[in-house]
Amino acid sequence: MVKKWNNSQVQFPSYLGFNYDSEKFVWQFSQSNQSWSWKINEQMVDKINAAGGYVRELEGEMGDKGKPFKTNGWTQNHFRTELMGLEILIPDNTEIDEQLEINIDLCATKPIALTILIHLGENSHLNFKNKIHFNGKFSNLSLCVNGALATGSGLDYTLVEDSPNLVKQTLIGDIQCQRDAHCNLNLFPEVHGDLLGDLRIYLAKTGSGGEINFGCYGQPNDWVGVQGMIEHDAPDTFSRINMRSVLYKNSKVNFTSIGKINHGAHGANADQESRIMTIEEAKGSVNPALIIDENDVKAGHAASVSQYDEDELYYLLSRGLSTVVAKQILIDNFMNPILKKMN
Amino acid sequence: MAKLVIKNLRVAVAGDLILNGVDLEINDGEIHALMGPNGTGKSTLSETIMGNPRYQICDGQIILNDMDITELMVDERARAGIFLAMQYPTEVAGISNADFIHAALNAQNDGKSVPVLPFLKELEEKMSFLEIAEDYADRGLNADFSGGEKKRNEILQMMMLKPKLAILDEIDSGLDIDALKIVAKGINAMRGRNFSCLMVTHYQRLLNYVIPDVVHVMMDGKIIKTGGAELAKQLEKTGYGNLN
Ligand SMILES: Nc1ncnc2c1ncn2[C@@H]1O[C@H](COP(=O)(O)OP(=O)(O)OP(=O)(O)O)[C@@H](O)[C@H]1O
Ligand SMILES: [Mg+2]
Repeated sequence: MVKKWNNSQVQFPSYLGFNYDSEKFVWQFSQSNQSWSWKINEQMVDKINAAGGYVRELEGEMGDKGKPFKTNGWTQNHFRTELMGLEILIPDNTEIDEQLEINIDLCATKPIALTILIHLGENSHLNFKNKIHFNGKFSNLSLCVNGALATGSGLDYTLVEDSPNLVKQTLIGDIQCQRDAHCNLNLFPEVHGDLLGDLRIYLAKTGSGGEINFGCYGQPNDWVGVQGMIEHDAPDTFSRINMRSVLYKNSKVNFTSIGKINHGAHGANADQESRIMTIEEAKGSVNPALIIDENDVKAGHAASVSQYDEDELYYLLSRGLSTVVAKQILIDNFMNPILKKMN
Repeated sequence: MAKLVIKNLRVAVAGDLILNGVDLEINDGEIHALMGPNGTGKSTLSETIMGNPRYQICDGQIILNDMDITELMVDERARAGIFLAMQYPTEVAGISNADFIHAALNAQNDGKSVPVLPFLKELEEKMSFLEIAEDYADRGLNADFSGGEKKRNEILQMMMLKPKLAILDEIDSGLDIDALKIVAKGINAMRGRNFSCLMVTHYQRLLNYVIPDVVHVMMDGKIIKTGGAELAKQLEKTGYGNLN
C-alpha cells in the first residue's frame, strides 16, 4: 500500500527565494515491512537496554512524538501519518562509549519512507553510524532523521549510503538542541539519481551547538538540491555548516546553507563553507546566507565553485603522476574535510 | 647518462617574452649554478624545462640525453627523468607524503606498484639522512609544513625519485644554517654520472657546501656570462652591476 499525501498542501521548504524543483519528489509512504531490514550489533542493544533505553521499530501513529519538531511543515505532516523506521531512546545520564552501528538494507521495488527518531536524555551521548544499502532495482527513498537532544546531551549521527542502481531520494533532517546540547550531522548520501535534502538544526537553548557536514559525488546526469540551516534561538550558540561536492559531466548540484541568528541570540557563532568542484561541464551553485537579527555575534561564510587547482595539478604531474591519477588525488583531497568526519 | 642541452630557447609568459634565446649545456654528472638579479627569468627557465603549461615556448629546443623533450607534457618529462624542486612547493593535504612518493614511484614504474616494504625502508633511511621526523611520512603532502620543511621535503622527493636532471629553484631560500647543510648533504649524495643538476640561487653560502662545476649568470632572459665556481665568489664581491 502506498499512500501519497497531497503535495500542494505543504510545499517543500524554500528559503530566500532559492526554490528547488520539488515536483519530481513526492514524499512516499510504503507500509510493506518486507521492503527493508535492519541489523544492529547485539552487544549494543544489550548496553542500551541495560541503561533503560531501547532501539525498536516504529509502529503506528506517532501521537505526540512529533511534537518537538515544529520547524518544518513537512516533518509535521509526516508525523501525522503512520511511520515506518526506527526509534532510539537513550535515557538521562547515559554514556554509550561504543559507536552504535545500524545497517539498513532496502530491497524495495516500490517507494519507501523511513523515519529515524532519536531521543537523547539529559547529559547522554550517542555516536550513531547509519549505513543504508539499496538493493532494489529502482530505489525511491524518503528518509527523515529526527532528533530531540535534552540538556547537556551530544549526538554524532553519520549517514553513509551506497547503491548500485539509480536512486531518487528525499532527505529530511530535523534536530532540536536544548541547553548545552550538541549535534553533529555527518551525511554522505548516495546520489546516483536525484536527491532533494532539507537539513535543519534548531538551537533552542543557551550553549547549544550544531554542525552539518554534507558531502556527495554528482555522477553524470545526477541532480542534487540540498539546503542546510542552523537556527540560533538562544545566546552563546555555535554552528558550522560544511558542504562539499565533486561534480562529473552533466550533473547539477545546488547547495544552500543558512546560518540564522534570531534576536536575543547574543554571543552566537555561525560559520559555513560550501564548495563545489566541477569536472567537465558539470554545473553547480552555492548559496550561502546569513540571516542575522542580533548585533553581538560572530558569523562568516566561504563558498566556491571551481575546477582543479592548476598549481596543485601541476605539482603532482611534475612528479610523474599521470593526469588521471593526479586528478583523482585532487578529488580525494577536496573531499577529505568531509570524509574525515565519516571516519 | 644525464645530459641536458638547451638551444636558443625563447619563452613567453602571459604574452610577454621573458626568455630571449637561452643556450645551456649540462653534461653527465655536472652541477651548474644559475644566478642573476630578481625577475630575470631563472624560474621561468626552470619551469619551462619542467614543462609548466603557463610558459609558452616560442622557439628553441630542450634535449635530454639525445631525446627532444620540447613537446612533452609535464608528467612525461618527469618520467623521462626531470625533477623540479619548486621555489614555492604546493600543499595537498589529502594525500600523505609517503603515499604521494609511492604513487610517483609507481608512475615511474609504468604504473605498476613498487613493493611497499622496501619502499618504506628506503623512505625511512632517506628521511633519517635528511633529519626529517618520522611522522612527516604520514602527514599530508607539504600540509602546514614550514617553508624550510617544504624545501627539505623537495630534497627527500628528489632522493627517492632519483631523477637524471634535477632543477633546484632557490632550494636554499628560507633555510636555517643547519637545514642548509642537510639540504646540501642531500644534493651531494646524488652526485654521480647519472645525475646532473641546475641550482638556481642568489647566495654563495649554498655554493660553499655544494661546489658547482659551472656558474651561469642570467640577465634579461639571457645567459650573459659563464664561468667556474670562482665566478660566484667574484659576484658576491662585485654584484651584477659590473658585468655588462
Ligand atoms: N606566471 C607569470 N605570469 C606573469 N608574469 C610572469 C609569470 N611568471 C614570471 N613572470 C614574469 O617573468 C619575469 C621573470 O620571472 P622569474 O620568476 O622567471 O624571475 P626569477 O629570475 O626567477 O626571479 P627571482 O630571483 O625573484 O626568483 C618577471 O618579470 C615576472 O614578473
Ligand atoms: Mg625565481
